[in-house]
Amino acid sequence: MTELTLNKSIYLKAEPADVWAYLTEPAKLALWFHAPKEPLQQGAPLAMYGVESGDKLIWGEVRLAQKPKYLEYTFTIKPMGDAVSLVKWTLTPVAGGTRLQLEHSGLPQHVEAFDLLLALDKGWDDHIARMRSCAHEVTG
Amino acid sequence: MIPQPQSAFRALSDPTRRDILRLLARQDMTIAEVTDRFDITRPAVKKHLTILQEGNLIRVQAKGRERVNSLNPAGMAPVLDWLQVFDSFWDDRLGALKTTIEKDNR
Repeated sequence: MTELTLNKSIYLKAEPADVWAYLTEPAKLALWFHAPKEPLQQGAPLAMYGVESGDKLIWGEVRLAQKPKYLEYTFTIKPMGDAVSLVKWTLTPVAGGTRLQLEHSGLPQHVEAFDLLLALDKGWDDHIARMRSCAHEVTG
Repeated sequence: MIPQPQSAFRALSDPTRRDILRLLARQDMTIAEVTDRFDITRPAVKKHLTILQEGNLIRVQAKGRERVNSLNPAGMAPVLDWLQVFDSFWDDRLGALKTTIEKDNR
């Protein structure tokens, strides 16, 4: 199976400490992502739940949390089967705010597993529905 | 027209449609044969099959007066291309983050 890496970078008009809060605090994560029940802390399990369904959608472990510079956690969702991917956030102070870099690695490509796809559950349905509507919410 | 993989995800978002796919994974079926397996009306089954066809997850071929539905395994590829899925996912999420954080920090 081929593994792939995704890289994204955005600039935010906010200090790294403020951005860090949006990456780690449940109430702030819920505004743009999914809500964990506890703040993200190094060495702690990661579990994020659907706002509407309440189902666990994303899980993993927070490997590194170096406030307010670097956050790294493993990231698994049910339809990926046993594939464990890795999400890395790097926060760099720049004039007027923060450069936020994302690296998402370990993504499987073209998994030849029909049953894996059909294992999609209600939680993932909710996740996909929210994912599809997110762009409309952001641009609306 | 909803672009892939969204149309495929839409097709997969309903449990009845996933059950229909499981049936078609085993054998090709007409609308009548699919309807016999479910406690829903023929028009409802026909609508589910249309959505599955729009998602490129099944093929529909005319054989005489019948329309035979078969699984299209190749249609699964875009859904299982996690790079494409997460590319869209993170674009959307980072856009939401930027909007939220900059509104709160005004």
